[in-house]
Amino acid sequence: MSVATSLRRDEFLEQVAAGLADLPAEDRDEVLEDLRTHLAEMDVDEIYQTLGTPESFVSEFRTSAGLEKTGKLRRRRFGLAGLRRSAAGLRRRLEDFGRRLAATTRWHSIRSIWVWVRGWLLISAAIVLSQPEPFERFPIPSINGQWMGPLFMVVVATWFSFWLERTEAKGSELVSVLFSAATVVVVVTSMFAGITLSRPGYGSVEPVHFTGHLTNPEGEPIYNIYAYDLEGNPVDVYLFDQNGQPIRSMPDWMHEDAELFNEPFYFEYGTVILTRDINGRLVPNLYPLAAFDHEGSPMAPPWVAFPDLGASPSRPSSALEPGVDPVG
Amino acid sequence: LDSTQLLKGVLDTAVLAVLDRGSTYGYDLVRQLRAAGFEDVGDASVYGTLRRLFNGGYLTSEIVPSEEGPARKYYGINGAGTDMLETSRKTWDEFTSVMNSLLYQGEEE
Repeated sequence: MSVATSLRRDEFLEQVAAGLADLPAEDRDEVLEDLRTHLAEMDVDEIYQTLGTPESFVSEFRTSAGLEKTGKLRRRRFGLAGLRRSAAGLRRRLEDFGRRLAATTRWHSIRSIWVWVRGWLLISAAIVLSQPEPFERFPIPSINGQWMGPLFMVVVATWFSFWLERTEAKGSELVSVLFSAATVVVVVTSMFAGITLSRPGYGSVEPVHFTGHLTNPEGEPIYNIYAYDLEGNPVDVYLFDQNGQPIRSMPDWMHEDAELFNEPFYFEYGTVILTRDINGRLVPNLYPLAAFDHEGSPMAPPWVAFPDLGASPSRPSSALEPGVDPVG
Repeated sequence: LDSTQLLKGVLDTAVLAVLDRGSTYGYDLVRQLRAAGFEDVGDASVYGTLRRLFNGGYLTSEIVPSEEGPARKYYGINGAGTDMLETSRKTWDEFTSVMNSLLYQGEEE
């Protein structure tokens, strides 16, 4: 049997198979197996001469087998037309799936909820992507602390979502799908962005500009304090102000966040881990703070020159001791 | 009178009658029907009829290896098929009897 002959037989079989595609697989395979042995008995020229075209063969077979007539055979061809047919077939299958899904009660519930929330999700996720503090008044998103504008946007987006669901305007179904897709994309993007921001060591981390309430004469924030004893040895100290209040070099919001999340803080100079006592409470005024640079290495104490106080330093033994004249 | 249309009405019976003589495969069944006089019988019609009769429970099938080519599926008639054939024979006899009396009654008188 030549290759060409084999191809013509295969082509005939393939097209008959396409015309019987609606049959149960087992039935179809049996018919094709019969036909394969039948074709093997025939000369290749005899095939089309005796059996006619695959279309007419299928039509005659279906009639005598008591099957319903179908439309034209789906020929397998390559090129633009084939792609178009494949796309149409895929679309039909998706539509069938959609119809079956739409018939379920659970899907109706999910769809209703989705129509309600997708407007809020889209606006909120977009704001999450652009704002450092997007939810000052959850669930209303905010832009630069303002929430009226975002609330208006959420209302408009929610109204649009409902309008899309109810209108029968041409193309509204496509717009609705695009709206849902955009919502999913923006939500997923904002989730990934959130994960990235919360992890140390990534180049995309937006540094929190540190504006401590302690500053040096050059106006730079003092975020850490190093103490030394008289021999020049570094020591850990608690610092208090004149009212006995702990002196905190970190902004208040950092301490509030530290109460909620037991995580390091990333700011423009590096990372700080606040100490906790044995009960887990923050100790905000124990210095120096455990500070690390952007590579995660501990920050070394600055180089300092100590004054020469001599053998008997002319320094009060205690600044808080009452009745002692500091100048002697 | 179009014999093709007539054949469509009796193809089931014709197929059963051939298989009643002995099991055979599709290609040979078509050949036997043509040899019997149904020269215009379509291959697809025979296969469609075989499929319908088999699905209806009137036939058996068996794969038999062939020395000349691929294995062939042999169809045979079973008890239900034999009953159906017998009923069809009676119907055909009655039918032809009526038709004969209609067609030839005048000629005999």
